[in-house]
Amino acid sequence: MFKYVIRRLLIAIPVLLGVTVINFIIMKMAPGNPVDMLISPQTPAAALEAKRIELGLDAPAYVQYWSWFTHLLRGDLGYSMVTYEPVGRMIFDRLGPTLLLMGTSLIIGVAIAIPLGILSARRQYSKLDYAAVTGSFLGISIPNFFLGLGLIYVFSLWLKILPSSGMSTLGGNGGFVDILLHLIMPVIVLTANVAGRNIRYVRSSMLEILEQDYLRTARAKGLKETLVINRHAVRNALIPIVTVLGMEIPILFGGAVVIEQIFSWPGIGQLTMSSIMSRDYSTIMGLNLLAAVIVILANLLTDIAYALVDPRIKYSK
Amino acid sequence: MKSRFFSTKKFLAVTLILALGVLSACGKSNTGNTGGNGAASESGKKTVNIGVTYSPNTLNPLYPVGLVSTYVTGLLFQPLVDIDEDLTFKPMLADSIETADNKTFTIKLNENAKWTDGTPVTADDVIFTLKLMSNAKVASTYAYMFAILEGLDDTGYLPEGSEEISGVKKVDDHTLTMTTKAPTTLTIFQDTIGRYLLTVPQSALKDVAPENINKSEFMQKPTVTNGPFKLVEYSRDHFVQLEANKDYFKGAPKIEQLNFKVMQPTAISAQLQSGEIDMNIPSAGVIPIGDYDKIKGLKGLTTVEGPAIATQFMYINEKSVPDAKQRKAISYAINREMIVNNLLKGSGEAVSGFFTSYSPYLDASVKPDAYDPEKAKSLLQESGWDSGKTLTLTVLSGDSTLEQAANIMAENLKAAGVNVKIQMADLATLVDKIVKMEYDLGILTVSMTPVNPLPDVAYFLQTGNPNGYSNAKIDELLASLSAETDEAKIKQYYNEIQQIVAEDVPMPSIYATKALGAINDRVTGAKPKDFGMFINVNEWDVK
Repeated sequence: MFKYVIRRLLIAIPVLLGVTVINFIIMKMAPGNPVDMLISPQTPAAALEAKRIELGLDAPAYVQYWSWFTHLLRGDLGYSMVTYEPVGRMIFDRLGPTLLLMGTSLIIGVAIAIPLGILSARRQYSKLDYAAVTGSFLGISIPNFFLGLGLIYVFSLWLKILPSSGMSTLGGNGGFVDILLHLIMPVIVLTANVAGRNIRYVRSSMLEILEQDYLRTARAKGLKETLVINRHAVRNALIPIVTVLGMEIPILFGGAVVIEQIFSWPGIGQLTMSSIMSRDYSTIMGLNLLAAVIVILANLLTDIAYALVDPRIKYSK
Repeated sequence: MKSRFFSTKKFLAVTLILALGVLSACGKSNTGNTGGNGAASESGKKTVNIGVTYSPNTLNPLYPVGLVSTYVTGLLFQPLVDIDEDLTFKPMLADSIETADNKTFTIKLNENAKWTDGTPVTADDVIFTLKLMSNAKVASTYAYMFAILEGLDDTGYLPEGSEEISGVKKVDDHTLTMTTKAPTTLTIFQDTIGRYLLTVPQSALKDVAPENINKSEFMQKPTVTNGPFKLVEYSRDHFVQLEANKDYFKGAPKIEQLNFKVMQPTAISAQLQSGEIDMNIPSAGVIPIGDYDKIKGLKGLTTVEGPAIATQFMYINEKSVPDAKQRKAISYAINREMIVNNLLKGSGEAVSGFFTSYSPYLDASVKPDAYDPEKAKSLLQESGWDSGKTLTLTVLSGDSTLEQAANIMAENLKAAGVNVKIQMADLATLVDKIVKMEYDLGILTVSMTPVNPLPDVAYFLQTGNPNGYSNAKIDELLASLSAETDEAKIKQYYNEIQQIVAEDVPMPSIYATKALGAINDRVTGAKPKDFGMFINVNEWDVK
């Protein structure tokens, strides 16, 4: 197992490199560049050229990539081409809020999806089942921005009980309650998504298990119903769910882009949007690397978790 | 069976209780937090929150990027003078800027002006700043503003090898003179050096190498400033939090905190209504036109309709539309009145030339092209327009009003016999296409400096412009303008340009919007406006 993890980590290195190269090429192919964004009619060409030199954009593309790469090896992600802030610090500052938002949503979403999925499978075609399935469809199909704006309308404008944007009240003393209040609406939106998707997975996985012969055997042995469900059914039903949850993390990262825009949440998603819009190459590269690392790690963790919950799976090599 | 039912019920009950608990908890602790004057009462401080829709990209006074950066940075580092709504200049860091011969300008600094570390702001600081901005290694994109000064090259950079700017002399600690290469009007001097030289402290920056200055800690979070407010916290796409500088030389601000909150345009009206923001900056905290009526109807808010500044210009690539008749036909084909009356609901004006009614240089005798599809058709026929040709109209995405206006324009043009295909592009893509001339028609918003439109006009019309238009007479007029100091003559040259442009139609404008400003009545002394909004910020107060 240990060897397997090491091997996977080693394979991850060329994958990451490939991702950064591809990202760099695509980014360079996109029209516009950071200097274009500074063009106002008055700016003379010589000033733009000076800016290009200052940002290192006058060098050939492969030299630019190489310079980025060698800095990366020294643990330096470079400076933002717009704000001159170190990219590493920018990303680090934004990571906390995003993890808070995603983590909370994932935990609550799963905490709703698993029990509700199990219940609705056990009582298939009941009112609860229909309600859960309908709710899950709603959760998936209502666009994030729409639900977000709807919540702002109800809770901020109409009831006036929740702040509509940001992570803390400016000039306030911050604190746990303040952040919690700001967290509620974005978390509701992301949770609706996570729960919506996963209720269906849990339900169908559970339905499949409930038809298995070994459950009939267990019942025939005279085991208590709760024991049959909890020990024999749920455990097996959750195995495929582990995979799905691993995939949830990259999806959440994507969903956060929209949500963070709507709620002005100071996280990675908002940074991603603004750096793409201003063609802030070094920040885009840093964010892309982060995203790639997260996807690869999430996959690895999923595979490890898979081996832990399912004794049939062994990574021998 | 019974136990299962029980567990369902229990589960639902627990969920409900949790949900209610969370909701009631926020209800309790949040009372008065968001409504009306929440922000002030909560921490006991007098706070004003301003909504903006663009992020303050940098707080670097050597070259603020974008409108919001310029406003915020100006609050930390005062310009020498600032332009007010009525297009007059108000003294800021400089008490006065005077000239007798339009070449030598004497700048007297306010003697009370102090850095937040207690030391006075001196002529040395001003000269130090000027040298930084004219250093090619700093690559300030504002350096060109200083190209009028003697001793600097045409880009505004200090030639390599020179240490001092020959046109700048210190007279005493609070007085300096600047000499220009050519005679310059006081207005232009104030509009360039006066507004864009944001003095930085020599004491804090003298040991930083120029090539590292943009990356320095100081430029990320300025600690020694001279404006009415000091920086508390800055989160680029999120907010800027400022607190009053009690020692501000024009008098301590009455409010204790000033926050800029970055948000989506649709959020402005919502947050004005909920009291989370007190006001917007008209052109930098854009309220979508669809929200105008709603905001005007809100109680406790005062709205101000600004002058028509932001103008939609249509770039026309002469390679695609070579004949002036065809360009005139395009201008005639567009129903500007309908766009202004129906889409903008009257909050704008129909324009086809370079200036709006706000400009002192508008030639009123040149009327905007009126909607005349028949004339457009006959002009196209005369010029032998190939009706099978399709033009691509590239439009900036994200501005919903512009997107709808572009659809109207495309329909208008089709009705007149010009096939148009709309293509949406983000700003970087659009600028790239225009600069490389890889477009047929392109629409871009331009907000011209009202008092000195020459750099903009020259860029759009001079030979080598991104329209591919060239006219020797125009080049000549532009050259005369750059050397003229007599206002009457300047006006006359601009009139001539407008008359030529009305015939050649190198780059027609379509409409100009009047940005809406809104302010909560609890704030006194302030008015949302695009120019000069913060000149009297130290006198703002909250009820």
